[in-house]
Amino acid sequence: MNSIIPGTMMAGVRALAAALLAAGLAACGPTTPERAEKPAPLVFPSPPDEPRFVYERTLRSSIDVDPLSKESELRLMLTGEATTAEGLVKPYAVAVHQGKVYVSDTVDRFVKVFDFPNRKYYKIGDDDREPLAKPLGIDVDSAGNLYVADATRKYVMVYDASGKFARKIGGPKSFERLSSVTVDPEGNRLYVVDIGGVTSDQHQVQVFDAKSGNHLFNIGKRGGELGEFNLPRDLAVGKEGRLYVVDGGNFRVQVFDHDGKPIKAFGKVGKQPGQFSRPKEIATDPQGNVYVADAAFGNFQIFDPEGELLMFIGDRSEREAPAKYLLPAGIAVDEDGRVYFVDQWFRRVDVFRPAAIKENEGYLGRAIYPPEPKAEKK
Amino acid sequence: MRIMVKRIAATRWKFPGSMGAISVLLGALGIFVASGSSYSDIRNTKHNLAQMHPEMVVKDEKDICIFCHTPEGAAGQAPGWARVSAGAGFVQYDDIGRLGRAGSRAVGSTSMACLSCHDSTQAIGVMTFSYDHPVGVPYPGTFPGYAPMSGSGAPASLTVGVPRRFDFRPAQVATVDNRKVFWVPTPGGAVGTRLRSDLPLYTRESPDGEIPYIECTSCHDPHAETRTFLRVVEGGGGICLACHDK
Ligand code: HEC
Ligand code: HEC
Ligand code: HEC
Ligand code: HEC
Repeated sequence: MNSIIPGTMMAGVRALAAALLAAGLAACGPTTPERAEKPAPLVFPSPPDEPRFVYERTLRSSIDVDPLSKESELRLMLTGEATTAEGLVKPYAVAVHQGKVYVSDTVDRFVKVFDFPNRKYYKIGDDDREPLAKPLGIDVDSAGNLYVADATRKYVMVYDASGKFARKIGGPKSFERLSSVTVDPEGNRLYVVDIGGVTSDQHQVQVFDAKSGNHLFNIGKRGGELGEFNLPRDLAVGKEGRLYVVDGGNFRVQVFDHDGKPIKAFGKVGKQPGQFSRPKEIATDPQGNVYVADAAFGNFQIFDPEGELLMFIGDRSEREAPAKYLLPAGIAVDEDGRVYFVDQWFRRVDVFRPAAIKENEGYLGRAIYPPEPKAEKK
Repeated sequence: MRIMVKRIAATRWKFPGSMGAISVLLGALGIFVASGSSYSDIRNTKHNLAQMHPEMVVKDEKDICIFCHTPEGAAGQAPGWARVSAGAGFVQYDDIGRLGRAGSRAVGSTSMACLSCHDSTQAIGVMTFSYDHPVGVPYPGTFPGYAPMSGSGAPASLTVGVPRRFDFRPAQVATVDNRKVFWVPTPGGAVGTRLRSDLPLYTRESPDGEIPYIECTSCHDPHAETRTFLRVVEGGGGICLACHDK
């Protein structure tokens, strides 16, 4: 195992064991523990401000989606047999489609799927002929096709809704240093971000026809002016088809119209609210608000479509806890406004629910708490 | 002039700018630095993220520092949905090696500073190597003033769960700003005074008191012009034998 931090590695295993034991104890309890003693919900922003988001859950491994594996894992654990629970090793980006949560893992070289509607966990990318080498940014279109930016192979790999390899776009001649891919909701256009690297000039967004794979046009070049990039990193399609690009080396988000014409930029370097230090991935919600992850701050900031700061969620911490982060990276917002936020260090994805919906609402909510009265509910 | 990475040996010189300019910057960073400390020219390295194209010469080295040392920033935006206490600013990891010392609000080691970029996107990821050196773990060597327990030669808490497969050279320790500062002297280093060429260790609290940790920056100096930013480049065994005894 080529971990840089044996200590943390072990801590991870211990955390898993603790989670399993906790789950075991709860399952043995006489009452339905879920309703019994729930800690007060963690809301953001904190009172007295009006709550907008509620921390809902954390995804770490197969046991978080597959209750059967949870039981068998527990048994294995208690009988001292080796565990086979699969966890995230170094998660980077996240994408969500109707309750299916896709997470790219740069060390394990797979995209891992927490498929809540089907209550199963599986991996994408172990195709013998077309294996993933280093999956970074990922996205899903509304039909459920998955697009993966593979930094090593320098292709955008495309998988159908069942996870089968479909085709690949681009290639080493097209990209210098691939970092992310975004597809518009209709699955027509593909926006591929080339971060370039320090000694390259190829810092740009390349636009492809998602179906044919044909290159359409490029946006930007290296520089600091409006419409230029220094180490661009990720893109999100927002209100009215606008493109929001994280321009990391210029510490800002640039806004373009659908055809790549620059409109404006917001943010600058600094530690104050609305500023950026190590901005990573970006996402937009159904209202068009813009979410930007920052690895240095250990948070994500939420802006309105014009770039006015609304709020932020997250704090740095060396101790694992909900909404506490050390090296966050990927972010996604699903159809219902739930936010999924990845921490590379703590190897997990935190899920925040908009305060306006209940835990059993939305794709994820309905998958986890199916609407019919359940037999198991005593 | 073409600014590219020069893989040259450890020649070190002061920034072309005056010490004054650096002090101003460091003042802004809230760092105290003993006069006379010198850096190599970061503009000639891969850590010059401000090079916009090969012909461009970065005039002001501060333009490079901000990529790693985030300035406090002028007034931020007031978030529309939340009241926040103004001015405090977001907390970051330790970007100057002063974790836990008076005045440091940092959360996370200098290794986090490296990993915030070295995540496989803009800079090479570090976990894909066939071999990665541990960081964020205590340095098991002894240091002056420490009374070894149980004959193991290292504080008990340092050996718990750590198989001693290696022997380590003793670390040095001094007190700066009321806190212990640890380092491993490199050959030719003086005892009791830390030199720039020594390998820094990073202080953390433990039940045994303040103890030294190894981080990425123990081996790499992100400002250096050396190959792969290593603090020690030449010699048999190179950097490894500075800490490992065999
Ligand atoms: C690639 C990232 C990076 C860049 C660029 C960078 N630094 Fe640093 N710097 C660090 C890190 C990480 C540390 C903490 C590690 C350590 O203990 O040396 C540090 C520590 C320091 C320290 C305190 C350590 C000491 O030796 O006392 C000073 C002073 C400093 N930097 C000044 C600068 C200046 C001035 C610049 C711009 C010319 C600069 N840095 C550019 C990453 C960087
Ligand atoms: C602000 C972002 C940033 C930070 C922080 C940073 N690096 Fe880098 N580093 C880079 C980039 C960009 C490159 C060049 C990668 C490329 O394009 O080839 C690089 C290259 C390197 C290299 C390879 C140099 C070579 O000659 O091949 C090493 C080693 C390295 N960094 C170590 C570190 C260490 C150790 C730290 C923490 C003290 C650190 N970096 C912090 C961005 C960063
Ligand atoms: C014990 C010393 C040591 C520690 C600790 C250490 N490194 Fe290194 N690192 C090295 C050596 C030695 C090399 C190889 C240099 C060479 O081959 O020129 C290296 C190489 C690298 C490279 C360049 C790899 C390449 O392919 O060019 C990067 C980037 C890097 N280290 C980053 C880090 C980061 C980030 C950390 C902390 C997480 C770290 N290192 C911790 C000693 C260390
Ligand atoms: C700054 C001091 C320092 C330097 C320099 C250094 N090491 Fe280490 N090394 C350590 C420490 C501390 C540990 C962790 C000891 C422990 O917790 O078991 C370690 C552990 C190791 C381990 C065991 C790894 C494991 O997974 O348990 C190997 C192998 C190793 N070092 C090789 C090297 C090599 C090769 C070099 C030169 C590139 C090197 N070290 C340079 C301090 C150092």
